[in-house]
Amino acid sequence: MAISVLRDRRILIVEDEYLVAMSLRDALESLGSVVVGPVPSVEKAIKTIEAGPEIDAAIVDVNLGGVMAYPIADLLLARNIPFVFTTGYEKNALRAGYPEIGICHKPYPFPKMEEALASAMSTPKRATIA
Amino acid sequence: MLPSGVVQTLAMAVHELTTNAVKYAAFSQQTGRIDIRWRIEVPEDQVPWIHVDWKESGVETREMSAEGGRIGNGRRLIDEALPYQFGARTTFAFEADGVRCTIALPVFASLTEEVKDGHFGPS
Repeated sequence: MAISVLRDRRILIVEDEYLVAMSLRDALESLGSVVVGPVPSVEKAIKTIEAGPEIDAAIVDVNLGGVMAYPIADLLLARNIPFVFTTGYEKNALRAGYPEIGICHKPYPFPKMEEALASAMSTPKRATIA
Repeated sequence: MLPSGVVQTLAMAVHELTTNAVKYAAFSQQTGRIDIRWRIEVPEDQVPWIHVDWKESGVETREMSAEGGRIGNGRRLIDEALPYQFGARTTFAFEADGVRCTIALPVFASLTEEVKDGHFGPS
């Protein structure tokens, strides 16, 4: 099997549903990623990102127990950390303002997430943040 | 009123405890009893918490441990899923005469508002 680009990368999981979080963790670990978290809330995600060490990428569930994950997305953008949204809601339910961010709609097969993460990580980092 | 996600997970936990009781513990023995209590507590200036206390008695623990005395996924649900997903505080132990499990869950303010208004809120 080809070596995943996610291998040895520090990937943060932000997901409030325990079973989804655990299955993502297992899937990433099977690729050799270093999983950070999982964390279930905006507060814990921001604390984890700020505490370091720096993560290489993140998976961010848009709706965390009824609280929208936008502050996490904004922090990741400000730090130039690539990430992918996941959501069980329709695409148009996502607030405008993240045109470049990939979305995996639940339920999705894990290879789709792997692909989306790899794509986000291969995109050249922007020099400035609008 | 509890949000549907909490109800689902709490119901699964109670189901796992009951299954365990039927197979190995209180409901598998003539002398076994289960005392289940719940209450709402409102700490000052904080959100209400629902407390569930599951206490078995009259159970031969030797028999329990001989049967395995563990509930696998149900245990994970109580020890890990409820705290992770809902900020619950839980305990689970095999005591001398049966299982003792406590579950405390915060019920967020917005939900109590919904109850006051007489509406069912979105989960």
